[in-house]
Amino acid sequence: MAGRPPGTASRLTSGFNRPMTRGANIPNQNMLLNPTRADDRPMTRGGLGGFQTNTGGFNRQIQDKTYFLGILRSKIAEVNNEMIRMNKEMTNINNDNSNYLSYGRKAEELNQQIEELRGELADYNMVLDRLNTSSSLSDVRNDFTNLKLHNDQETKALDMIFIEKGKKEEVIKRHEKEIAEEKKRREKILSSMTGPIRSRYEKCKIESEKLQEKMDSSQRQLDEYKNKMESMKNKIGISGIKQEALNLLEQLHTAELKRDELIEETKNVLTPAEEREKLLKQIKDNNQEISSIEKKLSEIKDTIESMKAELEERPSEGDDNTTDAEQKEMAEKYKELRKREKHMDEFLTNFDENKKSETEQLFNTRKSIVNYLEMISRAVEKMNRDSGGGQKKGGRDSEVTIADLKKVEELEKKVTNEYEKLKEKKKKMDDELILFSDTEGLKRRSEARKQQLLVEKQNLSRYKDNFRHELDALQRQSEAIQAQLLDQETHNQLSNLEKKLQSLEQANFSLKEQISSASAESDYEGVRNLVLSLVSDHNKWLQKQMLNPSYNY
Amino acid sequence: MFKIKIAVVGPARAGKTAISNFLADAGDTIGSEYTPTIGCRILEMEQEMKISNRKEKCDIELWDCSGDLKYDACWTAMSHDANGIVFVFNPYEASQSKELNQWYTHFVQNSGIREECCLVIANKYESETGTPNSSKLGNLFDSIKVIQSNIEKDSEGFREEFKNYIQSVAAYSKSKQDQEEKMILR
Repeated sequence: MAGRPPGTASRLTSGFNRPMTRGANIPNQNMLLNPTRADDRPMTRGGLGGFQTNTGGFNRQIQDKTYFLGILRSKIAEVNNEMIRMNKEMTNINNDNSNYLSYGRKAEELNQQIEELRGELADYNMVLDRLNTSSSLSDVRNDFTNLKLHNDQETKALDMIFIEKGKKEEVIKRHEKEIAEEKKRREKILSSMTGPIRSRYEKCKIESEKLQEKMDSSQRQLDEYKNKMESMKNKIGISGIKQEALNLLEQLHTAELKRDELIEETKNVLTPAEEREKLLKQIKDNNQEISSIEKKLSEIKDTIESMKAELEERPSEGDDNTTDAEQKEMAEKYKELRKREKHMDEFLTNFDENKKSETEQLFNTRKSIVNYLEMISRAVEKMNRDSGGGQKKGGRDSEVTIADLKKVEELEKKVTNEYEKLKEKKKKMDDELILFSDTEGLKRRSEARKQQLLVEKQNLSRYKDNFRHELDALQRQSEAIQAQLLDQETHNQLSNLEKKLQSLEQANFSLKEQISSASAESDYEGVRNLVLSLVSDHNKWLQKQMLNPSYNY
Repeated sequence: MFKIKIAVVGPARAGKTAISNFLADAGDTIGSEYTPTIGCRILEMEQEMKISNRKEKCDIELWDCSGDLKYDACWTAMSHDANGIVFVFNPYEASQSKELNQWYTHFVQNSGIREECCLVIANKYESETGTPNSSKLGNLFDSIKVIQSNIEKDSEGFREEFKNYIQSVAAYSKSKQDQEEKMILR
């Protein structure tokens, strides 16, 4: 059907066979051509309706202008009526609305009233309860006063809190201001930054942001994990066995940690000897430290004592103002140091000048040295000339005699020196002489010594005799033992066997020697090797000669 | 106690001051800058020695004289009463050996000091290279002992030799003094 073009004649006719779809058009067609063909109509309601409306058209056959005007007028009146009705309804609704609002307000007021009344009622109920439960009026009053007091306190506390809040707000404001200032300052710094620093700063900023992000994400992850853990724990908490298992696992973990620690410790544990050494070393170190500390302590004690002595030496200052004395001392020291520093500074500042003056002085002294030398030279030359010239024989003689006198004086000095020395020597010898002249004393002393020595000699000889006796006894004992030994048969046998063993060993040795000599005689291995190598060498040589016939020899 | 005066002479820059300082243990001897001596410096030192089998302490005055010839007016004072003369020269400077003759004429010939009491030191600096011309010393110095010195290298050997020299000078002076004393006593 869809493939066919619509609107052909055959379609019109065939269209009557399918009334279900064409039903809407049919009445209009039939209205003019053949109005009464109900058998063809489908039995739908829509179809019947369409039939009824069209029946009105049958009341008046002529449909002219007045007819339509009438219809319009009636319709307009209807519309107007409808509008009036609507307006009325609207005003009604508005009134209702305003009424509703006022009623709502009223209801609220009433509600409040009810609440108040309910509170009052509860209070009364409570009072009644109290009265019923045998508590007296005074108790109630007390309670009331207590409550009032409590309330007052609460209100006071509230006021305090409020004031505090105000303060806090002020603080916050201040901090905010500071923050703003900081921001301004930062901006200033940023603006004052130049090229590389700024770029670096930006880089750092970016990095910090990244890190912040990372941290946030990890925090979130952590939270998630925590939540998960919580939920899991909750889940586990339902069943007792699981919880127990969790506890056991935790215990296991801690135990493992402990075990690892212990293993580490055992690794580090040394052998006992080493440990002992270590401990000894430690002890030694400690001892040293102790000794050094003791030394220090003693030093400190000494200083304290010296300080005390100093204090005692100054009775005028008294015991109670020791601090003053110390301070004085310190001040003096400080002054001294200051003086020294000043000296040093002066030295440094005046160094150049000093150097200059010193060099000048040096130069001057050198000059004067030269002058003196020249003067001396001249004087000596003059003297020589005078003496060489021989103008005045007497003068020359006097000079010579003066020189001689000088020499004589020197000699005299020397002689006196020697004389003194000899005197000393003589004194010494005299002392010794006294010592030697006392022959009696010497004799006595030597006699005493002799006596002593004699006594010693006697003692020693006695010792010697004792020892000799002992020796004799021991010798006799040993002889007896020897005789006993010789008497015994086993000893004889043993000695015989020993002799035999010796002879056998000798024979063994000689045989060994014989064997070695014989084996050396029959050892042709070396000779054979030598011969073989010689033959092979010879052969090689011969081969070479054969290959090289041109070579003549 | 016994006093000896030794004059150390020779051309400028030969090392007289360095040697004298070294012998008298006075200050730095090596590596200090060259400063010409003006006039003369007198250094004192002591030495123990045996003279005719007797131990004696000897005070020695080392007269470190300037090598500048403009101070020849002072030479008489320097050589006056000297017991010994030590000539110092640098064998690597040809002119110095000639100049030594001048010193010799004044300090030895004119003052009448015996040649046994003289010593020539050929001072060698470590920095010097080349061949020394010590053989070119004038024949005036034929009978005077010549020793080599190198303070920077073999200082102790040199000190020992100088000690020996002082010993001989002291022995000679002592014997001379003794003779004079005997003369006077006669």
